[in-house]
Amino acid sequence: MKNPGFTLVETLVSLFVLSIAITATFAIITFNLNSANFIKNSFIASGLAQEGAEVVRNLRDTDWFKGNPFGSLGGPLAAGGTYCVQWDSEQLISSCSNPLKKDAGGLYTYDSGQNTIFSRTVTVTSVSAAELKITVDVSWPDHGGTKQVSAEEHLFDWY
Amino acid sequence: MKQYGFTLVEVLVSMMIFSVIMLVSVSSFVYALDLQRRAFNLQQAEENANFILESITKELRVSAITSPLADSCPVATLVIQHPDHGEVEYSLVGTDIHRKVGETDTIMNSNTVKFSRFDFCVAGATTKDSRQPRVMIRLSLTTTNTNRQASVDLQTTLSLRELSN
Repeated sequence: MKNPGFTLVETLVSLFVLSIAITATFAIITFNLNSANFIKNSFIASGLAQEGAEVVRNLRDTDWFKGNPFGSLGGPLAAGGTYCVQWDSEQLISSCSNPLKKDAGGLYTYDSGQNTIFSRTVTVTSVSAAELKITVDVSWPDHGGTKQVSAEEHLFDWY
Repeated sequence: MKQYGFTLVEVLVSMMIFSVIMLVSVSSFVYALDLQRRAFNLQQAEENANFILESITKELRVSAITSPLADSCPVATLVIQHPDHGEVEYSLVGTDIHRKVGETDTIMNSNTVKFSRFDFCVAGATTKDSRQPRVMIRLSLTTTNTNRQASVDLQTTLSLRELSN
């Protein structure tokens, strides 16, 4: 019986198919790692976004103790706008140099340390005389694009 | 009968192509294994940090600060009074985060991670200072597995819900 075996072309074709399969697998694994990095950054960013919202809430509460009118948030605030805060802010910072910095102690502020990839802005919108909408956006560059985590909070004038 | 086999040149050419492809694919596979390890370590770090940060913020938000009362930054140990759980103390002992309630001392993290930093900054907790108390929490952790080790620095701040000037 005649047994022709594989021809060179057949061998090449099968190797080609094999290499495509391997490349595809590899692409999926790389994508997986990028997702892991994205999740890590989102996680850090969500902590920072929570910090922004909590600090603004704290300023609202402190206004009550100090007898400031609702919405002053510790300082002479315009009706609305985009600001910054850091953990120990006693009032909104009107002009800040994003991105956030991180010092040797691992503290994220605008004061000292190396620039991080994270930028945070706090947008205050007056919904009514007794309601403020606070939007905190934390963004960072990711593969040529920008990723963002946002948090929204509504503050009311209870007093 | 005439045999149709490979010629020597055909065998050589196909072996060369095969070896080149194998070289590329094996090295990318080894690289992929490394990436996979790193992704796994990141996941370990995140799971631990997420659990700890979430449980502390949940408990702290509704509590009152017992110690420290004066503005202090950073402070290693935080003691709070929780309405249901009573007095709760958080601290870093060695590389583990401890939560102490009465005589019960619990380690909050798994042994897959080590904490190099876990501290607090407290502001406005003094009575009659006309400020609402706030607490900044920050933590740094690395995985115990040093092969493709992952590390994360986290920070968040809380404003206590109970009004206290």
